[in-house]
Parts: sequence; C-alpha cells; structure tokens
Amino acid sequence: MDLSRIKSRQSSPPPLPTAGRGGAQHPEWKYLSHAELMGLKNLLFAARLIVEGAYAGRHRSPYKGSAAEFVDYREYYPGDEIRTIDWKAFARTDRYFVKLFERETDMACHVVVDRSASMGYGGKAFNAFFPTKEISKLDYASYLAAAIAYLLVKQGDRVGLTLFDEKITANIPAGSTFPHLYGILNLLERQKPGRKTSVARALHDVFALHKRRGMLILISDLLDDPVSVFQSLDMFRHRRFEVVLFHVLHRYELTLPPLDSVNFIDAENGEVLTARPEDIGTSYERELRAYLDAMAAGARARGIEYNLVSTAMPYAAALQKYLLHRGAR
Amino acid sequence: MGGWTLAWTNAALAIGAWAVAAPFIVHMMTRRTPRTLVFPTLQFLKRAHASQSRLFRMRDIILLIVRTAFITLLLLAFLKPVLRARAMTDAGQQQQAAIIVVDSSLSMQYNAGGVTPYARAQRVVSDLLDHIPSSAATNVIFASASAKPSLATPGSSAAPLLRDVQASAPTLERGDIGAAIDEAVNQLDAFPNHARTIYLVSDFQRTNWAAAPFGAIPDDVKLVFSPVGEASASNAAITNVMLRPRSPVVSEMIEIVCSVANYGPSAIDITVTLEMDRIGEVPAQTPESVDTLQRQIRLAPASSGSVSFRLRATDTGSFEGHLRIPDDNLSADNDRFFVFDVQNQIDVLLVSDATREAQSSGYFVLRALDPFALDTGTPHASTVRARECRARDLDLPSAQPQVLVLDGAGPLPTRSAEQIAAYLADGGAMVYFLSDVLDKSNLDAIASASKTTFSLPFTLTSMINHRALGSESASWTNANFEEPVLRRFRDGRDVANLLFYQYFGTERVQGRGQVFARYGDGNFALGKGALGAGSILLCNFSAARDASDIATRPAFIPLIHEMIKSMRPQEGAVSRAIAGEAASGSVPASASATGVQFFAPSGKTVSANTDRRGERLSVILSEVDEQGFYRVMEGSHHLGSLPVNVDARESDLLALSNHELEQLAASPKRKMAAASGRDAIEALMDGVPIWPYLLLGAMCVLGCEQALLLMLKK
Repeated sequence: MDLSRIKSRQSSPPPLPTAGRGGAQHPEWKYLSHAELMGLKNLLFAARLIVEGAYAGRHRSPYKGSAAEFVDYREYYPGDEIRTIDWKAFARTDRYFVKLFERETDMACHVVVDRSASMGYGGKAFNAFFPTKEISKLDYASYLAAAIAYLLVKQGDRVGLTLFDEKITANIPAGSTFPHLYGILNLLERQKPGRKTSVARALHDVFALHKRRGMLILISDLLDDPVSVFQSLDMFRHRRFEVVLFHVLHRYELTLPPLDSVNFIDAENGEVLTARPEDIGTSYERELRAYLDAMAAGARARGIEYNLVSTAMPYAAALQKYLLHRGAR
Repeated sequence: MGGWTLAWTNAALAIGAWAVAAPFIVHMMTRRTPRTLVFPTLQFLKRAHASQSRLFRMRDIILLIVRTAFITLLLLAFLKPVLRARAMTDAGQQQQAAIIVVDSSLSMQYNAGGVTPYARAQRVVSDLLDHIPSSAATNVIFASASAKPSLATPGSSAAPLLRDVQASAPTLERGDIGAAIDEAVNQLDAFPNHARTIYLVSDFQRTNWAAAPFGAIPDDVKLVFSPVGEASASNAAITNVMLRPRSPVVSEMIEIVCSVANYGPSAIDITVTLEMDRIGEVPAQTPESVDTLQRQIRLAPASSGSVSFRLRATDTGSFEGHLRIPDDNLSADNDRFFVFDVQNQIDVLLVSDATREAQSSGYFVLRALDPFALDTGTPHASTVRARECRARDLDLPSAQPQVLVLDGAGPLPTRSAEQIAAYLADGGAMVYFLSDVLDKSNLDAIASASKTTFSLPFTLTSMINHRALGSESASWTNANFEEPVLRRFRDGRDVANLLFYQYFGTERVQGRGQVFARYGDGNFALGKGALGAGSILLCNFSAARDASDIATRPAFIPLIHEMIKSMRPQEGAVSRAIAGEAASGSVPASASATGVQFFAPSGKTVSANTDRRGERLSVILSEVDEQGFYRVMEGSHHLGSLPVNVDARESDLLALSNHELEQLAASPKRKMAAASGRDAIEALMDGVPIWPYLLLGAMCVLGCEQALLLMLKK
C-alpha cells in the first residue's frame, strides 16, 4: 500500500463547511460548522474509543472466527489506539497513519428523527417572546442527529437517517461514506416541522425497512402514548436491535416559559388553553415529571438507553453523556 | 320608627372618590392580553390547569374586588358617615324651628326607684336643647290641663327654656295633649319655611294620647317621640266616689261607694279608709270608730272594684269626706275628697200656673206633696218641702230642687225651657203631669232647648175624653210593679181602682225610655224618659177632678210621694271638680255674704267669683291646682267646701308603644322618630357614627387580601 493511496484517500472527502451558522464555509451545512466540528473533534476521541470499543469485538458476526483484513490507511487522530499506528508509514512520511481493517460484519445505525409539529417548538415564533434566540427541538434533534451521523461515518460505521411525523417522510438507508453523510446532512438541513406525531406508527414503518439487527437511535419528543411507543420499540428489541432514545424537550417545555397570560395552542391539534404559566407551572412540572419518570422506567425495564435531553444542554454534552454512559457498559 | 338614613358629615372628601378606581386602573394597566404560543402538547397543561382551584383561577377578579372594597371602605370612613333617623335628615342648610312638648300631667310624678318620668323628661329636654342648633327657633310647651308655653313665641336662646324646664314640676292635672299640640302647631305656623320639628316628651299614657290630634299637625312637621315612662308601672287608685242617694235627707241611710282600681300586674289587697268631719250614726252592729271607717278589698290584676260605707245621716249640713288608700308610687290618686249635703227635706219645686185654683191638678199635687206648702209661716216636719212657682217665673239656677214637678204649667218661655233642659241635662229629675195641649208644646220647647237627645218613651197624640166619648172612664190594666214608683202598690188594688177620664192618646217610641203602666185601651199612663243625665217621669193623667178621681183616693198621696222619691237621683258622683280646671259649687250663703274668703287645701288664699242666689252662694274657682278641699270661710265660720281631685284617667299608666304611636301619628309624608335616653337622643340628633366600623371593615378587608395572597401563593 503506497502513500499516494493514502493521500488520495485523504482528499476523498470534500472540504467540510466551516462557515455557516457556526462559521461553516457552506451555510447550508450549518450543522457541521467549524466550531461545532471542533467540538465534535473533541468528542471524537472519547466517542471513537467508546463506539469502536463498543462495536469492536461486540459485533455479533454470523461469521465467527474470521480475522479482520487490512484495507486502508487514514490519518491519525488523537485518541486512536497507538497500536494501530503504522510505524512504517511514519518512517516514510513523518506523519502518523493508522491502519483500517475491514470488518466482517458492520452494524448499521439507524437514526430516526421526529420532525412532527411538536418538534417545531422553540423556533422563530418562540423567539418573538424572548430576547435571546432559542433553538427549536427539531433543530436540536437535527444537530444531534448530524453529530451522531458524523461520528459514525468518521468511525467508518454505516448510518442511515429516517424522518417521520405521523408516518415516515424521508429515509436514507445506512451508508458509511462522506457523500452519504452529506446527503444525510442535506436532508436534515431542509427539514421543517411536519404534521401530527405518531411515533409508534413511524417505528412500525421503520421496523419494516430494517431487517438486520443494528442500532436504532430515536431522537424525538416522544409525545405519544408511551405504551404504544414501547410496544413498537419492543419489536426492535426482539430483533436484537440496540435502541437508544434521545428524549428531546425544549427547556421551556420542561418548565413553562416565563410569560404572563398565554393562549397555549396545541401544535398538532390546534386546541387552545389560556393560562398563566406562573400559576400552573408547579402542577405542570409535576405532571410532566410523572410522564418522564414513566418513560425512563419503561425504557429501563426494556434495557433501552434513555437520555432526557434539554435544548438548553449543549448537544455535544448530550452526546458525550451518552457516549460516556455507553463506554461504561 | 321612621327608619334610618345615611348622612355624610365630611362630604367634602368625596372628591377622593376617584381613588376607588385605582385598583381597577392598576388592574387594567397590569393586565396582559394573553399571548399566543404554539405549544407541543396541551395534555400536561390541561391536567395542571384542571388541578387549579376555581378560586385560584379567579384570583385576579377576587383581588380586584377585595382591593376595591378596601379603598371604598377607607374612603367611606373618611367621609364620616352617620346613621341618622330619617326624620332628622334633610334639614341641611334650612333654618330650623323646634317645639318641645313636655308632658307635665299627674302620671309624670310616678316614682319608682327614685326617678320620676318627669325627671327623665327634664334630662331629655336638656339633651334636646343641647343638640338643637343655636340658630333654631325653639320653645317648650308644658302640657297639663292647659298648654303653657315657656315663651310667647319661639326664640333662638335655649337658656331661658332650660331654666324653665329645670324649675318646672309635674302637676296634679290631666294632660290636655290636644291643646298642647294645637299650641305647638300654632307657634310653628310662624315659621313656614323652616325645617320644623315637634319633640314630644311624655310617658305616652294611653288614656291621654290615644285620641291625640296628630292629624292637626302639618305633614312637613317632623315628630320625635321621646318616651320617658316606666317600662312597666303598677298603680292603685281611687277612681270615683258615689253617694246613694245623691242628696240624702236627715235620718236617711247613706251609702258611700268608693271605686278602686288596680293598674298593676298582680293582685293586691287594699285597705280603704274613710274620714268624715261630721259623721252620722254608725249602724249598731258595726264596731268601727265614728271618725274613721275602713274596708278591705282584694283586686285582681288590671281590675277595679268598689267598697261601700253605710252611714246614717243624723244631722243636716255639709260634710267633708276623705277616702284614701295606702300610698304607692303615684300617691296623688290615693286620695279622694268629696262633699255632700244632708238636707232636712226633699226639695221639690212645682211649676204650675194653677195651684191656687181649687180642683186643679196642681193644687192637689201640691197638697199631696206638702200640705203646709202654701202656709210658709208654719214649720213642718214633712219629708218633702214643696215650693211652687209659675212657668214664667221659673228660676232654676238660683235654687235647684231635687225634683221638678210640672203640672198645669202655662206655656214655658224660652228661658224657662232652657233652664229646665239644662237642669235635666245636669242630672235633674222632673215629673210632668200631662193634662193640656200646652204640655205637648212645653215638651217640644224643652226638646228644642236641649243640646242632648230628649228621649221620651211615647209621643202624645190627641186628648181622649172618655166622658165625652160616653165610656165613663179608664183604669190602669197593665202596670209594672217592680218599678220603684209602683213597688209600694204591688198588690195592685190601690191603683187598679183609680179612674181616669181624660188623658192623651199615645204612641210608643221603640227603644226609648220605659213605660210602667197602661190603660185598658192600650194608651200609656206612666213612663220614664231621659234628657242628658236627667230623667223625666211622664204621667199621662191629671189629678184634676174632671180628669180623674185619683186626688180623692187614698193611694194618691203615697203615689205622689213615691214618684218624688223614685225620681230623686239615687246616686251621683260627689267629686267632680278636677285639678287644673275650674271648680264650681254652691255653699249656703250667709246673711251678709261679705267678708267671704276662699282657701286652697294648702291654706293659701285664692280668688273666686261668686253669685248669690237666694240662700245659696254660687262659687266659681277659675283654676284649681291643688287637691283637697277649697274652703269657703266667712271669718272663722266654715260656709262650705269645694272638693278638688285628680283626674282618675291619669291613674291608668298603661302607655302606648312606639309602634302604636307611629300608627296613630302616621301620615304619608310625615317623618317620625323615637328616642329615649341620652344615648338615643345623641344618636337621633347627631346620628350614630359608623365610620369606625367602616375603618374596621377596611382593615379586615386588608387582612383578607393578605390571607388570600398567602393562600394563592401556596
């Protein structure tokens, strides 16, 4: 394997946007701004360790006993295992490269993102009430999905993306290339909040798309009947999918926004309720907490990874939290 | 009474009423229009909202109400409202005129517990004068037997009124409430444009006030009743004295009947004591002292009864009698004074123009009455002393007889008819022998002259002359021998044989008088009628020989005497003069009638008008204010006495309630109020301040607001 091959490989992915909302060169690729990428790069070491460590040796390959075959080099990133550094390549090039091995079996990760109307909470309309800009749940979920997809692609894993509201609205099958990643990011970029939520139905549809076991990462506000949702997730568990739930709620959904009298309009059915947040805040939080506890308990009972994420939480922190938790397993 | 209304003593601060709107303004300013926010799901919001209490959801409105109430109560407190009797409002800037009528009648002397109603009345009047504005025209009228104003016209100075009230005392007189009210109205008539008020301070005795002429008070005059009487008063009193017979003669048994009343809630035993200055012979079987007699009587609650003292008149002359019962809280009505004369004979006056004619009825009647009447020089022991005069010479006021007999009287002049009518109305007795058509016109003349109803048992039609009719005579076929005049002839034989030739046809007047005897042809022979307090015995027959043969019968003289005796007043009140009114009477006149003096019971000299008529001296005391005997003296010689007593109606202390007074005095536009006691007067005049309660209410509301906020916070 000569270095030219390494160089060409290095140049295969197109320059990632560094301008945009976070400074990405291509504004449309806002989810992978340079700053965010830098942040992601900070997570890569831990993420890569955890994911690779979790995946490597854990993949249940139906082809047991087969050794991994060397297929390529890639540049060394801090955090990569030292033993994978090709010292010969270093001697030749004065640069660190690691060897890439073909996995006998690769586990696809299916990122399922909820783009129903309720995920639009916290967007432009919301920002009219507050001096600081708030991020919508959909945006947050998209950030999170993008970060996960990037990490996975960078790790050489296959990742697919499915978007849904009351049914599947878009699906990108799992892939591991950067063009594939770009497609995922492009899809995420274009998303606007959709219609009513039907998580259970959407999961049913997603289940039909993915026959082989893999990882299911569901990023949603889960505003659906918990029993139905868990019943749908049970199908994935039965097929031995590894399920991770990112329960995304806006910070002004976990606590009511600090407003006076508000006409609350249900995002999905248009129902109206007039109330004062300060009057019903405590009772609301109590009701919501009971629901969240029920969701966590249901997930825990099924061995489903459950992560409650607030839009106030930096998404990298949310991901790191998940990765660290996974690293502990 | 009359209701209450709110008045504002600090109305100028009403300019601060805008502050009441402050909570509302703040509420509107701080209220935010609900902002519209699309929320992911309402399921948790709905549950949270449902768990909110209704109170919590309405808290803004509730707090707004509470805060507005606080401001309002505070503002109202600063306006210093007072509750004022409706009768006392609307004087405003108007000049005021006030008359205070103070009841100074006998009942105001009632003394239970050391304080009399009059003493309370004096305090009430003092309080009223304190509160009536100094610019008001004010006067005080004392209501006794007459209305006595303190000032001739209302004035603006209360000092002389206060002095008069403090110096005044209750009288022994009955309160003439009508006169007092009339005087008050007359005095207020001089102030037509003023806010006029009459304050009535009294114990509001039912006997005085039930007929008070409230209707004479103009509707725009406010009435304020100030009861000062006892809540429950008990009293015993001597209410009347009757003498039976009214004019006793020597050796006759006299019965003195004393009426006693118990105006109290419980039965009482009363000892009635009689004192006489000249007492007759006491019946042998009674052990009482000659000077003082006593009787016991037990009276149930709110009842009256009588006791009798029987005496025999052993001497002629005037006698003073003094009845008394033990003193109680109202002592003035525990005494009764009376005077009566014991005559030596029954005095009969025969009015006839024919006594000198033999065979005339008058002649026979006079001889039957008093055989010695025509012979004045001969002393006689007859029980009847008959005098005679002609119709035109009749002069009753000079010497009223016990019985007046008309027989063969000529046409009565108007003056004579008036005298007879007045005599009868005052309780006189008359026997009229009807024998001539002149008698019909005389009866008509008396009826015309009388001011009261002349009630005769039958009317006269035409004269019936049996001889002319060929039927000889008629007899009495039907007689009521239970009547006193005929009782003696119970066996009927004596009167059944009397023959009557000439008499009037008669027609019965149903429901009037009584008939005692009837002729065989159905015409009435004897009947009794009335005029005022007096009575008339109508004899439809004549003693003249050509009219009947009764003058020749043995029954004639006893019949005439029984007529006289039965017609003599059997009983009569002997104490008519009332304190506060004029007292009149007659006493035996001395030969000279000069040097006569008149003394009140206290011994002070009083003046009187006199008029000598024959052997009697008429005495008129224009105003008597003491109770007891007003004595007529000529030197040391006691000519006679005029008894003066308190009015028995003052003894019943039952009072009208405020409600009853309101009903009596009510008229559509009249304003009334009631207040007794200093506090009530102040409340009435100044109003009851209620601003402290409003302030307290405001503090309570503030506390409620804080409690509400704490509760809502939780």
